[in-house]
Amino acid sequence: MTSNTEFVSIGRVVKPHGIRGELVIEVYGDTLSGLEENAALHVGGESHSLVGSRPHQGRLLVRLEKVVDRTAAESLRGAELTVEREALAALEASEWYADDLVGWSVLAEGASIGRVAAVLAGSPHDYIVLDDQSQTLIPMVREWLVDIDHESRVLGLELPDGLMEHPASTADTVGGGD
Amino acid sequence: MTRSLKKGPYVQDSLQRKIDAMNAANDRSVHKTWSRRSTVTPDMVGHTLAVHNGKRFIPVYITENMVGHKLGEFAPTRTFRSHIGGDKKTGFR
Repeated sequence: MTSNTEFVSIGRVVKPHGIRGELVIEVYGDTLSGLEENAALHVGGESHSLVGSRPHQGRLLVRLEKVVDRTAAESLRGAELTVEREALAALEASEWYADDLVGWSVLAEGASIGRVAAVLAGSPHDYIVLDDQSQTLIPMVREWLVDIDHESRVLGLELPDGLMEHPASTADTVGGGD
Repeated sequence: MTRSLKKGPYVQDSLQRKIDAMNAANDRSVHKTWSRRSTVTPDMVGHTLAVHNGKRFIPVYITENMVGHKLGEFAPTRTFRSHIGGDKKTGFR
């Protein structure tokens, strides 16, 4: 979890590109593509200024100030790109950076149903994965959110009947099925 | 080739009957289905369907944006775990 660290991972160096020190970056979130020139990046334990970036085959090609040839770029292969937490974009009221939500308690109708073990990205909505035995998935639906307590790190939800009763087995048909 | 408009969208009969009954009773409980090939129709909006992905049920809250798509599109059958970086945003949408 990165919530207590000063730096936050925003990408990973996949490989060098060309002979002028460009790096192919696998981007995690939206931060890197939104950074301006001369923004401070930390790669391989060293601070670098961003010279430029451009999209390339679903990834990003990045040029850093001190990396000017392939040899220097090769030494960064596999390194994580980090930025200071303050450089991240501001969040809305019911928005989090995914890592920050891990460990929060989840209440349903006032009763604890577990803690957030992970957040999974989904196409209609993201999912909270609870730390219970069956790793229950809870869709992050705005209509179900009734309370957010940032100080105590507690989410209050109003869940529909049957959501917590999902068996992993197809043989169990509690609640009916089609 | 697309499905003939004359036929209308395909929804498994038993699922449609269940949705109709739940709408009549204003019931919003989670309903399990294996019918990934059923099309999302406007009367499903607001329901939560647990769609089977071959291994487990994935709860899917149906919204208007999903109308016209198949239920299976929202319950992926393969696990793709990309690295979630510290700057990956999430939220209740």
